[in-house]
Amino acid sequence: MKSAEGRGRTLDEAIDAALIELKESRRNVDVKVVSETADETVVEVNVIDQEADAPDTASPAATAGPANGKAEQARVLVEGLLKHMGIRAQVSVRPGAEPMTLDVSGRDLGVLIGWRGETLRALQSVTNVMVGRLLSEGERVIVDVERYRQRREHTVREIAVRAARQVKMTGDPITLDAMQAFERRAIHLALEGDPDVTSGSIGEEPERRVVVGPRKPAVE
Amino acid sequence: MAARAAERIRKAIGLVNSVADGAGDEDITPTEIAEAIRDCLELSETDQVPNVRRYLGESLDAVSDGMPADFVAMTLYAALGALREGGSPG
Repeated sequence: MKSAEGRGRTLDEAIDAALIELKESRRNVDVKVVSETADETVVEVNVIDQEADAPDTASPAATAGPANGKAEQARVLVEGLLKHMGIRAQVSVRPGAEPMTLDVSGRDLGVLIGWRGETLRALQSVTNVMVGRLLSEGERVIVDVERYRQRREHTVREIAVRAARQVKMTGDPITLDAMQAFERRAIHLALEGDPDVTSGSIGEEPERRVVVGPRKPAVE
Repeated sequence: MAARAAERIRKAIGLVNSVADGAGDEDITPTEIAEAIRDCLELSETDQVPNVRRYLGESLDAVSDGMPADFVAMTLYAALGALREGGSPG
């Protein structure tokens, strides 16, 4: 996997420095904040392994995924749905993803993502209703468009790490912006192993927000 | 103000998606979801745009019938879409 370290006064500058070195665009990379001070931010930028993630078009079985034919059936259903919607896009099964994930790719697919990913989330609901009879209890299909969801999860994890760092420095809790359930989940998972901070949520949907605070020492 | 209806529908969708996506930070009961949908139905603006009330009614039925969260969400998204088509700023 190609990677580069980027340094800059701000997070954006640091990411841009690494992207220039890698000759990549923001959509194709994962960003990890290595350190952040008032003067300098250091990031590690890793190029998403497109070859490993891309379906092997020469092999239909690889596209369907190793587990079963469910993924392929779901893929065909979503492809058909998009065709009926008049949207030209390719649908592929993300290899090895758990839960089963369908990647939709093509040009100008912003319309499928919508405001704060709302249309994408609606597409996922429709997809799960359509393929529900193929799935076992509790099994779900995740739909991602141009890796929007994956990038969003990476972004909120970065936010979580930065918030945790600040909480450790100041000892004060931080309330993050309102987020969707899958984003809040990504934050809780990112911080669950941190012995110094804890995360919880406050407020009501759709304004529910994660609060990152110091973990209280256990009372003996 | 159709924006108020959109906001309430989004709240109901958020609750349903929390169940479907399993954020793990709240326990949502079907009663809470039904209450959120009834809050939408209380607004007179849902009468002014075709199909919004129908989709909300269907989503309420879906909750009562114990349908999967994705089905309820899909019906609520349909209500939101109808509201938008009816001229709401969304």
